[in-house]
Amino acid sequence: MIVGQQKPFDEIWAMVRVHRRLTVFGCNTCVAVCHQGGNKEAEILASLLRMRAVQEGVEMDIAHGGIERQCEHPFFESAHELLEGSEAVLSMACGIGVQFVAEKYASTPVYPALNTTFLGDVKTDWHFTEKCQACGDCILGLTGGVCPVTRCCKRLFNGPCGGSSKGKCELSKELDCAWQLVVDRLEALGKLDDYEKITPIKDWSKDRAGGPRSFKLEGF
Amino acid sequence: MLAMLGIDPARLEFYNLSAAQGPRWAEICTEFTARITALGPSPIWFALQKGMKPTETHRQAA
Amino acid sequence: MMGNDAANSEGPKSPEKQQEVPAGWKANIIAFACHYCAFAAADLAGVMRLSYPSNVKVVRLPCTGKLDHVYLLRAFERGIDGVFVAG
Repeated sequence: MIVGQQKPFDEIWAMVRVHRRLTVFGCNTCVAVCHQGGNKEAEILASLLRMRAVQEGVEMDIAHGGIERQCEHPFFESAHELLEGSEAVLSMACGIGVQFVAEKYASTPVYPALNTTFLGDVKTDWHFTEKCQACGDCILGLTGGVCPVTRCCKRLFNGPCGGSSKGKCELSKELDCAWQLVVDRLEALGKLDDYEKITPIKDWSKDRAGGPRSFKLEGF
Repeated sequence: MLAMLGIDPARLEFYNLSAAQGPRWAEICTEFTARITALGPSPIWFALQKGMKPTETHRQAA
Repeated sequence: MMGNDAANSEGPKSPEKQQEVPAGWKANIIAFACHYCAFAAADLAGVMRLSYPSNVKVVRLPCTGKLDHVYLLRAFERGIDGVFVAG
């Protein structure tokens, strides 16, 4: 899922304070899991902003709402009226949702309440870790299901660098060396032969280097 | 979160209490009221007061 | 013991600006109480004819697990001076 983190409150306030009728708009899928941008967080943020507005003597009508996903048209049906009537929208979605709302409501200013941080998993209820870079050319089949593009700080493809020590990365003792994980896993699977296979130079044009990506279903 | 808005977090408290603790309830009420009285009105209350007629504020706060 | 707390919260740590307290102001307090423990305790206090300040307005919840961030925020938003949760 997509992980995001709420921007500092002061930064959010500075963006929206010029408006008189604001809607705080939650996105209840990915960013709700990390308790940053769901409909509930939207309600809380709206309340905090109202209190800030009152204290600063700013007259501001702050509503809140939310939908399941801000990146797909059908979900917007229930919120259409709310958004149409807003002077500005503070979107609690990831960067995708913010842009989607901005495109959909061309004359309404849209602000991001979150910094979108990474594609990751839910390690525990409160701990999220990055697992995928969407590089467009997956090699997880060769690396025992451990992604070196994401989890190796240097994005190495053919074994660890000299900074790998006791299974940890030289960047931080908290950080596992991705290649240690790859080797451990291949060993457990009895597939250490895969480790000997040289991965050719990666085609980065399938990553962001080729510009923004898109794809279309054929014959749809 | 409250501190971020300039509200003293001491204005919010959690107590553990069982059904048999009637006297403790009275005690908590007295203590907490003393604490809030010492703190004075909430900054939001002051701000609301400024922007509204007093009657409205009282209705809101009640 | 709570007297000390009150004194502490008035110390330099408090983020609040000191403002002049208008005459006739009385603290407005909301208590969120669990139906089965604290609310019963409050009831008992009443039955025992214990006196306690009238500033406290009680909101009964089926269980304090029903409590939500938003309840607390809404109270503060409307200018409540203090909130406590008991259960």
